Amino acid sequence: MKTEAFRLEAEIKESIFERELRELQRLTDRVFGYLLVAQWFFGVGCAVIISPKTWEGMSSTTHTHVWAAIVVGGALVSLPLWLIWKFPGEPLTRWVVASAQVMFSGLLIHLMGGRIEAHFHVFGSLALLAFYRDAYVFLPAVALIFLDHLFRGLFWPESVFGVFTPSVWRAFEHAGWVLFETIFLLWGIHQGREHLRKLSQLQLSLMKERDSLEGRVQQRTSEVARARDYSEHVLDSLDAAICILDCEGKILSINHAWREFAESNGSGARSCFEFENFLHACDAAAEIQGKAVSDLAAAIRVVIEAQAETRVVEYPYHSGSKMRWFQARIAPFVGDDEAAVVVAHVDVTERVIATRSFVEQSRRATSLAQIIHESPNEVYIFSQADLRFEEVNQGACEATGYNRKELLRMTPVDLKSEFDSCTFRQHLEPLRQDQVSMLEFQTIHRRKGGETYPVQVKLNKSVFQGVPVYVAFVTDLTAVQQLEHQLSQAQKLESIGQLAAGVAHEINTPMQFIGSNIEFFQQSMPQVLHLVDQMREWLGKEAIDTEPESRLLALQELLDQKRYDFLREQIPAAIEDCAEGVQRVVEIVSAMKAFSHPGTQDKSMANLNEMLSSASIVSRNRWKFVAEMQLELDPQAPEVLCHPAELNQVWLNLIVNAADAIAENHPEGELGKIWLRSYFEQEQLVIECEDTGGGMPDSIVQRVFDPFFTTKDVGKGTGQGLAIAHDIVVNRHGGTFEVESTEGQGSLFRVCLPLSSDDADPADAESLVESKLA
Amino acid sequence: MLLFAWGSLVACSFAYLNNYNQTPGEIGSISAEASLPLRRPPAEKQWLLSMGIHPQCPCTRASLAELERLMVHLDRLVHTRVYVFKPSETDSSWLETPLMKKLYGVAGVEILLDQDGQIANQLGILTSGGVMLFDREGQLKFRGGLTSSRGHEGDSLGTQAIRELVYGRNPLQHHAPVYGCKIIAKREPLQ
Repeated sequence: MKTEAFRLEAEIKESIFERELRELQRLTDRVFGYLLVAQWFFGVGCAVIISPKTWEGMSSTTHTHVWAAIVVGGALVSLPLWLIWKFPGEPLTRWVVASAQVMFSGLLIHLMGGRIEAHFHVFGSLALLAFYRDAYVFLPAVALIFLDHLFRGLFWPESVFGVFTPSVWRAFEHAGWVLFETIFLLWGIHQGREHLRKLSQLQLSLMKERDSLEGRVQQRTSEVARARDYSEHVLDSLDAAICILDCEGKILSINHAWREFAESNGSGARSCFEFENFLHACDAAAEIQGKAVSDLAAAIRVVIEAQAETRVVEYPYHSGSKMRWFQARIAPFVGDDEAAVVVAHVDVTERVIATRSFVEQSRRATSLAQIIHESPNEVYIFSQADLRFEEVNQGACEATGYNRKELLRMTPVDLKSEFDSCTFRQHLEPLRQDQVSMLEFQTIHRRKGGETYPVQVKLNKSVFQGVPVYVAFVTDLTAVQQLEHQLSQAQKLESIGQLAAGVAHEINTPMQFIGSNIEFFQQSMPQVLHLVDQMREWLGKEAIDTEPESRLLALQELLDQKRYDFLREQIPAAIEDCAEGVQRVVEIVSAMKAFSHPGTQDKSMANLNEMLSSASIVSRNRWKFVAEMQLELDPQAPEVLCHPAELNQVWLNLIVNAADAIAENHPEGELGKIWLRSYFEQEQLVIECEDTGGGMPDSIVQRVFDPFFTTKDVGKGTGQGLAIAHDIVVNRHGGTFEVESTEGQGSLFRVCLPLSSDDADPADAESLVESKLA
Repeated sequence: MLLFAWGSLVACSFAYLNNYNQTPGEIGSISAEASLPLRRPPAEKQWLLSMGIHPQCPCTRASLAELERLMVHLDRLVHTRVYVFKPSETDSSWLETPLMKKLYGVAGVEILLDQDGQIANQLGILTSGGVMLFDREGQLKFRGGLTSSRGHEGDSLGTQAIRELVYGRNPLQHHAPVYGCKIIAKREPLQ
């Protein structure tokens, strides 16, 4: 790498040397170009002055030297000049120049009469040729001189040596002096080239230094320029509108923001630019903008008069239909004799609006907090860390009977008898882990006096005064549950009312034949009594005295008369029919009684199969015309701890809905089918009601448990049946209520009840139902 | 090719110039009319060197330069007369030339005006710069020029021969070419 760098540096140095040498040779070419032309004119001048004419007696003609100077001199300069023009710096150019130069020496020697001084031109020319810094340039020059002398010495000695028989060494002598000079000139050229190389090295060093220096200078220049730009534009880049005033209030300088500020303020704009008096502008604007602007001017005057270090003035400014607020910071300007004060304007309209909005929001928040605080609904805010109440409202205090101070020392567990701290935390875990955004459940709260009341609790996470908390909105369900109970009862009565006609019909049938039988009894009983009376009479003392045969005949006659055989046969049957009819009525009445019973708050063990049978009986009149009822009840099904009255309503709803579905979707005269099943599975008692009605699309299945949702015609249903049934199964018994429906085929409602609903968690059951529905 | 053409042109030009410079002028012979006083040196000198010049001839400047060099060494033995050609119809301005100034600067030279070139004609000096060397008896020992070419200073056969003769040695030649302007247009017979 280093070697490569050295090689590269050597190449650059050689390149610089070659370039400089070539430049020097080009310069020397130009010098010789001028010199050759000058010599040409000089030669002509010499010829004209020294030998203008040649004479013959009195007559004269132009001397041949004049023509020779013109022609030969012209010939000598022609090619060199052309080469210098076309090929400056080329070796051929300088070789031709060298040749021409030494031949010029010969010409000038001729023209100057062979003066010994003229011969110095040769040596001068050689010295000049050394300017080329090229040893080879002497080759043509020295060769020409030497060959000229040698040739003429050999063949024309008198022309150069003035004698006929000169020694041949004279040519070498002449050439020797030339060579003598040439040697020194060659040494000089070598020195010159070395010097040039050193200069190249120096230039290279200078270039490197220059590059480095230029880089530093450029960097520094850039930094200085950037710093200057920063300083020039820093004011312009600020959002604040800044102007600098002198002690009279005249504007000395403004920034870009001020210019925009002035231009955006319309009529007063011209008064807010440089060299205008800002104080006068404020005074003038005060008439329109009001006292605030004059206060600004007054503040500026106070600062100018050094009565205050810095003043901050906030004032409104009417800009067209808009109101804008500005904060003006007036500070003394330090460091300049002329400038006195700096006025920086900041548009604080947004801040003012935000502040006002904040105040308004704060007021609203305070009001809202007050409303919440005074709300009769209970609101509890308790810490996520230790569950201790952070804040409670008046509703909570009133509902629990504790005062605020007492509640703030308590935790929700203290109010919920069925929770301890551990179970309550487990209950909150889904909310804590953000698995749900809100936790909703029903529980029992205990008042200060120990009285309990049902509540609906909605819990969500929040932050109260920087503390992570849970916020509980608690609703007392006492009234709601009462209403629900009443509503349920009403709905039950509604169902019963709907069934009343059918029930009456069901009761009417047995009652009719009971009545007929009683009528039969009424008609036959006198005969039976008469028969009995007659027989008792015959059994008396007087009858004993009669003949047995006559008595038998009389008896037979009486039996025949009273159609005893008929009575004997019909009366037991009638009694049996009556008994059966009464039994049926009793069943119906019992079922009705069971259905119409408002129930109790406490659960009791009940046989669901019997309940299902009762339901089928009570509702018989609703389904017997459209469907066949098939009961597939598991006789091994255990009794269940439940609210029987409420569950009866569920079964009744299911059967009536199934019958209605079949009635809507089956053609006249064709019976559908309803299955009522019960079976025991996985510690649960499962009750299914399946029908062959039309089924439901998914959109309806999703909503069947919604309150007031119904697909029946107006007047036929309230939409409360399945909603209440769902509530009974899920919330009251901790069971599940599922629907499977295939459109066009039928529906299956499946109720799963835990054997002991006390063990089930209603909330879990609800979430299970919701998940299944989803 | 261009270089060759240029070289050839320059070479030819120089050849022509050389040829011009090396073309000698005419040398005449001494007329019988030339009197002895014209040919004998004064008594105190052993030799008489007579030179004829055309005062306007630029080439003769070299001859005078050579004469001056000769005089440095031979002045003690040689009496030198220079006949300056002056046509009758010219005035004194004819002689106001650089050559005459040069001539006046040459010490030990007797300058004589040669009206219409009569004496030069008698002596046979037809070309400016031509010289005749006579001994004490008026015998012609050398005739010719003092330059090796036209207007070219430097060693020449003429100066070499004269030096040899004056110093009593035998020169290689008793004559030498003379280079210069013609003093008179054509040879005029002596009266």
